[in-house]
Amino acid sequence: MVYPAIGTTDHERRAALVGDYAQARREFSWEHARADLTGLPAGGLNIAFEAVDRHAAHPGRRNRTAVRVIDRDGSAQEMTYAELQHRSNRFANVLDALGVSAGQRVFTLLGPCPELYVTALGTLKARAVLSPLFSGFGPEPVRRRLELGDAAVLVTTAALFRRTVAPIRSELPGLRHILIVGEGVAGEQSFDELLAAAGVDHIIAPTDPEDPALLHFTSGTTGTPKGALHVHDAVVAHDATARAVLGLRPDDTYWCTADPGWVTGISYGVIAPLVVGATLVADSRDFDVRRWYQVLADQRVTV
Amino acid sequence: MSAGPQEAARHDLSALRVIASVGEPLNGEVVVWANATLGRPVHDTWWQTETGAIMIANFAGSEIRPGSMGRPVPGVEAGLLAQGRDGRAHVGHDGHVTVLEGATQGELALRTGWPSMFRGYLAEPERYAACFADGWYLTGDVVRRDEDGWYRFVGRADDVIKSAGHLVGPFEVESTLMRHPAVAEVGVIGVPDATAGEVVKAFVTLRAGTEPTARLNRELLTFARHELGAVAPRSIAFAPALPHTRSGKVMRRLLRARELGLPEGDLSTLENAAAVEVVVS
Repeated sequence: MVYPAIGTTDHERRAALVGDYAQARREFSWEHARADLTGLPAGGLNIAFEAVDRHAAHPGRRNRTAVRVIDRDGSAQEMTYAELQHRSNRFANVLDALGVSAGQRVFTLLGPCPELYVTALGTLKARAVLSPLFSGFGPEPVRRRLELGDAAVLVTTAALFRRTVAPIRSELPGLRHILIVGEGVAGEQSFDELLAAAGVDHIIAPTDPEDPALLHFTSGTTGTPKGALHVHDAVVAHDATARAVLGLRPDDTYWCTADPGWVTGISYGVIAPLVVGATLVADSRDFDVRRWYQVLADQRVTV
Repeated sequence: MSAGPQEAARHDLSALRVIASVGEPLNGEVVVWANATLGRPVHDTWWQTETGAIMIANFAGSEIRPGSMGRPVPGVEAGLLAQGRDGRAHVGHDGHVTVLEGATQGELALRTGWPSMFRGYLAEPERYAACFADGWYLTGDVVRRDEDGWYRFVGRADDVIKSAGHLVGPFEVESTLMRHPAVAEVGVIGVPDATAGEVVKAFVTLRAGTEPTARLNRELLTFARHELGAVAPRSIAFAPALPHTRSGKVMRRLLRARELGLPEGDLSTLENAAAVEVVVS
């Protein structure tokens, strides 16, 4: 059965980027889309610069809330674009100090928490490759992906470490650094202490748009896991589709319900809303219908 | 949807301007439900980990066709390729593919060169190379395009069911059964059959308060036959839950493996291990 089409008002259509499909296709080019981004002062294109630094440098946007994470107790933790810039700078400096070089892999095993965003953007600033893992994975899929991805660094929490990483720790000799967010774990390094000790200034080194940036594992509904590698130039498509498909604008409050351990949770949960300059909302609690509606209503979510 | 419209009505959702969905293709039912219940329709989209960004979409502020994944994003050229006997795009000895025109069905392919295209599978260059032919990225999804250029998901090229000469997309069968008021969720697979090659089998979970009776089973079979004709399921099994990937897709591969006693392969993305046991018992 075919349901009837759902139309739009003239007003909505005029406000939309793809109000007239044929015209939008005709006028679009990736070069134009690329020109909507700023580009690195030192040359090239870096996802984290487009997502954070260029907004933090803008007087009207630097104090806008970039990230609002709703905690398990219902309270919220916020970071402005300026704060996110400083904290991700610090994390990029942590990676430099640990000897992590461009192209090496930094894995996250984290639910939505402020440190997830700091790690993701700091990793991209250091030109290392970000590879997110779903925090609900058991030890074996985590071991397999860390091994396939030749992980140099893993960022996780004490609880997830004990449940998921401790049983496989001895099987991962190549994993040089495990950074623990919050309450510590004996024998592993503290994310919070390293971050506090690191400098707040970081200049992103020249980044070729074709430099690797993201590693996403996929197994989907068929076959064995594969590590799909993406480059910094991908941000051109994240920006273009966020605006054309989602209609995302800087004044939006945006909630992507996908977990940041999956490709959607990074591409459309972290990168796309920040590149556009919106406020992203994340909920660290498990799914519950009533709470889901409550977040939509209380946070005045627009997209 | 299972919580009903009362729950939505208790909350002020007036700020909401756009709702979009990725992952599993949306049944038209969900789009229409959201429009009635949340006050906004859902904009369905299509992409894969490999494409790095949304490639086909019902655009914000533009017309929505419920049940359709939409039209290609500006800057993206989509094509439908003629399929070979294995269901995948046919690549000739000269390396060329056959691009189909107009309203038709084939394997969805994308012209290479968009910025978020994946640049490799880690340590698997051959697997990467096998994803491309003749300047196209082959998605592995079978898709139908209508005369207006809108795309509809049919199924994965390799889980298309071949039954008595018909190519049956499991998603289409699932979408149809979903429209029955007693049905909450459906997973459809092909089961080997001596005469038909394969026959269609559906695993169905029911909405709360509905009893899995033999009478309802017959009613669903009749309903499906009426709606789908020759590609309707031959049998329906009720299950308390279905196995999902963590991104929400029904794991047909696992339903099939369990049904036929085949190796289960990589289960690391399985969301609800218990559901698997339940279906089989």
